[in-house]
Amino acid sequence: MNTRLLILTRTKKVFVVVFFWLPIAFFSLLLIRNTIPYFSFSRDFSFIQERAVLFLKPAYAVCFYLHIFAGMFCIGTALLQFSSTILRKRKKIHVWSGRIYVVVVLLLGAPTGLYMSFFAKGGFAERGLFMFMAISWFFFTLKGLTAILARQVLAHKIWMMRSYAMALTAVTFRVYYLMLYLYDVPLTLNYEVSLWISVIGNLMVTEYLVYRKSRSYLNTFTT
Amino acid sequence: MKHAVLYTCIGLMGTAAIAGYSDYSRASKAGLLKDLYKEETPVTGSMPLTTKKVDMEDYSRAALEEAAQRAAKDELAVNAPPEQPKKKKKRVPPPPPPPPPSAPPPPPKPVVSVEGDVPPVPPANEMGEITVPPASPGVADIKEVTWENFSRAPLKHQKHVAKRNKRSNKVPS
Repeated sequence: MNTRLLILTRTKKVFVVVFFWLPIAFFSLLLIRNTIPYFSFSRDFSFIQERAVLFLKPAYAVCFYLHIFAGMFCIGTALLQFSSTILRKRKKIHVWSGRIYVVVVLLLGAPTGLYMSFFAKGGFAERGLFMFMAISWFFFTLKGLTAILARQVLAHKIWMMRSYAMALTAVTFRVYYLMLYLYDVPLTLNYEVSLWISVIGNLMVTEYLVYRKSRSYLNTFTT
Repeated sequence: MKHAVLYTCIGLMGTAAIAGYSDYSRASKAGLLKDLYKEETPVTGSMPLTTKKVDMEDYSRAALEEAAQRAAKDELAVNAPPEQPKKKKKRVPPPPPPPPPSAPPPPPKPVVSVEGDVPPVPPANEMGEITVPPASPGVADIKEVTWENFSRAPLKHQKHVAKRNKRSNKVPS
């Protein structure tokens, strides 16, 4: 292979790690760290106080704590799944963390997210978006599981990328919210805009990467 | 096995959707979701706002003035002369009768004061009273310990020394 091409590909890899994976890893771990205090079951959090009426219902409170518990594990395990080094050298780590991810999403994260989406902040459009997120997260993860059980590795990769894009909206939403907050955008508008940008933006980036990876892009929706 | 897992997961999602929709419709009928997430409006809308001008110079100077006053008080306390002990009046026996005019006057006694020695007794005044200064000038007869003279309060052994000196200075009548 041409040396210049080799250097270019290696530089590209370094750039991707530094400008993509490092920020994602940092914000994901920060989100996990900020979620841990919620398990003191105290009501002294602005998120809970804003929804004090909803937390009077035991069903909502249970769904909330299950959802953030599931979210912590999803975000944490997904960071390991895209490493080719781990896949090559320690495949068992990939397999077991993948199992944890799938179980947590299908049994805890997606159902509780769907229940809570009916009471989401914002208008009808925002509630609809949360419902779409919960259903698509469930669907993409289920398709990724069925693909690897059928030994279709490329299809498994593509569906899990889409599933991770849905999980990552929790991280990207907070990043956009902070950025718009610094520009003095009104809180309600900030919330709605950040939500739409995080969901649509994540999906668009994922579909572009899938398009780059696969030769016949449209066939990925049927496999 | 695969189908069981699949149907379980789909069943969970269905249950969540039905439960969420039923709870939502019940809560919206009860009116619980009306004021949810509404940003609170400020209470002071109808009240007339009064502004009080705060003189920032005076505000910042007050603390400095207090500190300056305290410093001045401390200086006065430090520089103030020590309290003079009470003057003890001692009665001296009447002077001897004057000698006859033929005899020469007795020579005056030389007054010698050396550093470190006990200072000489001062001469008696017209009334025949002698004021005796304290033996050690450093020890003051402080009865009340206040904040200002707290640092100058005598230590225990100095108190004993002062008491001893008081007893030794007593002139027998």
